[in-house]
Amino acid sequence: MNEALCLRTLGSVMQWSNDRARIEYEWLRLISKFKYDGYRDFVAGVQFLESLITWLTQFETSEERQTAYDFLKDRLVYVSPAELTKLIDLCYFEHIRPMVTQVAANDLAVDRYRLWSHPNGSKRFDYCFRHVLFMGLSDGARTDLLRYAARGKLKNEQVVSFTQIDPDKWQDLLDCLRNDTNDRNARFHCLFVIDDFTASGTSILRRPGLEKEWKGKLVRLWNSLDYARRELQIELMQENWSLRVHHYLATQQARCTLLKRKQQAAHEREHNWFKNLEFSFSSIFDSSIKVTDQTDHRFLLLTEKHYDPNIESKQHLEECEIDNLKRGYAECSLPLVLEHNTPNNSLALLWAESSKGAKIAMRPLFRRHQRHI
Amino acid sequence: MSNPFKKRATEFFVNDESFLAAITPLPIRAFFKDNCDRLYDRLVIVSGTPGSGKTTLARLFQYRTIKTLLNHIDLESYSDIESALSECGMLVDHVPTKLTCRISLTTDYREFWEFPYPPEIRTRLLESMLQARTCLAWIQNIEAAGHSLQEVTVVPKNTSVAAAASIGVESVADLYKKASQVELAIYNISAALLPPALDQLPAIAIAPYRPFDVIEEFQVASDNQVSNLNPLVIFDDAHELHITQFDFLTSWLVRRELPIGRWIMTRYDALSPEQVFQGAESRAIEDLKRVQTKRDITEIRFHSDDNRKAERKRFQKMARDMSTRYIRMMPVFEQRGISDLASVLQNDPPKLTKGQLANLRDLVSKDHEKYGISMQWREQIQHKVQNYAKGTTDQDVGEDVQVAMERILLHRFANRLRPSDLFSRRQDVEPSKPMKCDSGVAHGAQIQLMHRFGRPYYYGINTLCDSGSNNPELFLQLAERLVEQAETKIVRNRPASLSSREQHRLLRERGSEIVNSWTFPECDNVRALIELISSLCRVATLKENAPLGAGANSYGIPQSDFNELPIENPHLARVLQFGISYNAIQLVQNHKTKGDLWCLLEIGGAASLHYGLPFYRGGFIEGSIHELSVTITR
Repeated sequence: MNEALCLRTLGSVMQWSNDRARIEYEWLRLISKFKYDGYRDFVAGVQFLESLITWLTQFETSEERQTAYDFLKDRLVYVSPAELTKLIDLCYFEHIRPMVTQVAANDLAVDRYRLWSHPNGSKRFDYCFRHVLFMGLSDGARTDLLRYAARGKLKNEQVVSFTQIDPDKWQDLLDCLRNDTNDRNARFHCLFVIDDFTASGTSILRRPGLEKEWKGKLVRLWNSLDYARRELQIELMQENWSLRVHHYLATQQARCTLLKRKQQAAHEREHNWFKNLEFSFSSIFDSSIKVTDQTDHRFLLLTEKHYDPNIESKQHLEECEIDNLKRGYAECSLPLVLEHNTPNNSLALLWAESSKGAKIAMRPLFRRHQRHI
Repeated sequence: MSNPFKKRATEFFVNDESFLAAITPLPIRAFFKDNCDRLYDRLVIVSGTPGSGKTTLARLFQYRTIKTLLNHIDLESYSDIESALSECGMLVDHVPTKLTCRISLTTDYREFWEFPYPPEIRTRLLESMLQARTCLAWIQNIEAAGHSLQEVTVVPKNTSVAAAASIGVESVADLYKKASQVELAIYNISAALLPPALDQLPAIAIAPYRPFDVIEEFQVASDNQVSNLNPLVIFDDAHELHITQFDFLTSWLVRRELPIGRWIMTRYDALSPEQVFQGAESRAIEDLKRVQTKRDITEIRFHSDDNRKAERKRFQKMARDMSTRYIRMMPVFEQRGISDLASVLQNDPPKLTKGQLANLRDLVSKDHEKYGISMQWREQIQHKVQNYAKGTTDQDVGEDVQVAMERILLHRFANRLRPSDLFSRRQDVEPSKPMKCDSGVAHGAQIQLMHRFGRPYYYGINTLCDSGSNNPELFLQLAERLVEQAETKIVRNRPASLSSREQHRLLRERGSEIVNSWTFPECDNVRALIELISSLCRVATLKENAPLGAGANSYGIPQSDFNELPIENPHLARVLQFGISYNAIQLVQNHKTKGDLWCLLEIGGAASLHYGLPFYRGGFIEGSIHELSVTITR
């Protein structure tokens, strides 16, 4: 569809006057060009404007459409590639670099701020940096952009895009490290694990229901490390090594949950757990991001009305003890869209798509690619 | 293509071709043609309000832009620009005669004043930097125009050999190399976190370097032809300099022995209130008593008090031409076969609704009864109105306007009766002065109908042009809203034309937005003054007998009082200077009324739209300096 046709259709779907259409067209042209057309799910011919038309027409009355459109304009938070790049830059410059600087400064027994004036400071920094292993928790970790942010420092051989590594790969990583450092006994001193976003903290670390077993990505990482260590019969990491889990974005809710569960897990799993575990974030959304009845009552009514129960995965619902996804996974109730995918913690009305023949057909504004098909 | 009406600033046009497509030649003729024999051999100071087109013209005059124009001269729209450039001496026989470059003073030049060096070192650094960058800009223009540097030679003035050798006149490559070295050395000083100590300044930065004293001509040999180009530099945005730097720049460039052409372009901000109000000579010239201003400086103002009627007509023509060029750059209009803005703006007079007309008639009948005017006289008034309506070329004298005119004349009639006539309720008495029904009454009726019934008043291309207050940028800012609305209608498959009601509403909205978005110095005080003046004007405009005809949009101060303003009340003078500099107020001096001379503060176009004032000139409220000075705050 060409732009004029899209705008014309939107104007009639929304029943705008010419004045209103003028104002909205200007905004829509700008926002689609600079932000929303970049959503990775969009393809030529079906971009933001086309998607918006489909999304709005699922609502029956003009009041409902207006409510949905107002929500889009006033409440939607969209993280575009440019913003994500800045968050990744922050990760390197505000977290990774200071952390390694501190380790190098400790090694040379100087204050951190004196490292760069020390004759061996720069060399020591490079040495310590090489002893950090970077792991992506998902595609959203965008380790390619991180490599760009830390250009000249981060080697391909110290970055892996997944956490469950088989023993052969571990051996390979260690061999590369030892080769680069000319140290036959070299081991990593830090594991820097990265992901794009956490809304509830559940997928990182959780203990569902009354079940005693801890679950989540960190548990899987622990098991993978343990397995490799036993298989290879060597230590992969230095003594007192640290695990740093970094998210480019998080909610305040997730941050609190993770800090709480970190303590619980350390207490309950004792020796079967990471000794030095830290969480860090490039940026944190405060609680005002959450869509509530107080702030967005009319839109939440729409989420109640336009809901297809068939979009749910029973297992997922059970794990977070909810019976529907109207307000997103773990009822996070977020208005958030990331440029490469929409988190399932966002309101389902933004991302869910019904199968053919559904009684209430949900049409997404920013379609979510489910990781678990 | 996005809406070019939003891209007034010429910097937003990336390439010269798209820039040239948006250029209208009329200002070249209006401001430069008459001075064409005084533009290149002495200092030229061009001043105007923001958006009056200074930078646009500076960019157009650049050698590279002129060469681009000549390369596409077969285009119809370019030939008009070419002839305008010829008329002001930039071209002779379709060949450029000037090597012009533009140097924007908005960048780091102001910082030179902050250096911890004695004034003579600071000014020398500024002088050398400006000359080095000018040399670089000339050479860049030559290259951008497609010449190789081997084709170009520098012709020095017959002067000191040492001065010539110091700038590198042996070849253009030498000139470029030397200019680059000087620029880099001075740039390193200005860009340093801490400027170096005086005794550590690099020798090249403070050594004599005076290409402006030496270079007389550039010779370009190409296609078996040799063309001689006189160098010309345009220092744009000179108001960004420190006041002392501005004075230095002026007094440096005014020297008669300089062989190059040199222009300074500035906003009124850089001038003193006296200069803005009275057109006095530049401040530096006041210091340089040896200079005979008129002989040594050509001053061009992009706005003048002289012959305002002609200027308004000229601006209308220019604004229409500009809007046509811009509309043609928008494919959405082209697809509809629309090639000018005027055709989108409906000019059909609006009408009151039946109910409103009945209310108006009712008002007239009540007034008629209240004043006890005889039916015979009322019929005579009606007859006068009908005759006027039949004879006028003004289209907006429909039934509703005629009834409103009748009401104005009834009130005038009543005012002209002696008090005794009213008390005696004699209905056949003659008024003390004969009644006249003219365009003033019609215009008064139209604006009163706007205020009383919301009848559209601001519509049509001429009104749009007048609302621009002779400033292209303001005109485009106002037109932008109308164009956007028409574009929206085209997108929606509706007729593109805008009714008078739509135009009126959109223009008033846009005017309010502009007034509310003012952020220039003293804007709050300017807004307060305009609020005061507008409220007084509105009261006078809405008087039932419309004593000022079309109404008032100005505030009059006795000219003699105004002449003393910069000395007697410098703060108010400064506030007014900024009001004038940023198009909020226009100054009309020596306006003769009732045998007295007045200085009028005329409300600008955006504020007139905001407050609902007329664009017709001449109607003013008599006021005083005191009343204005108590309105502003320090």
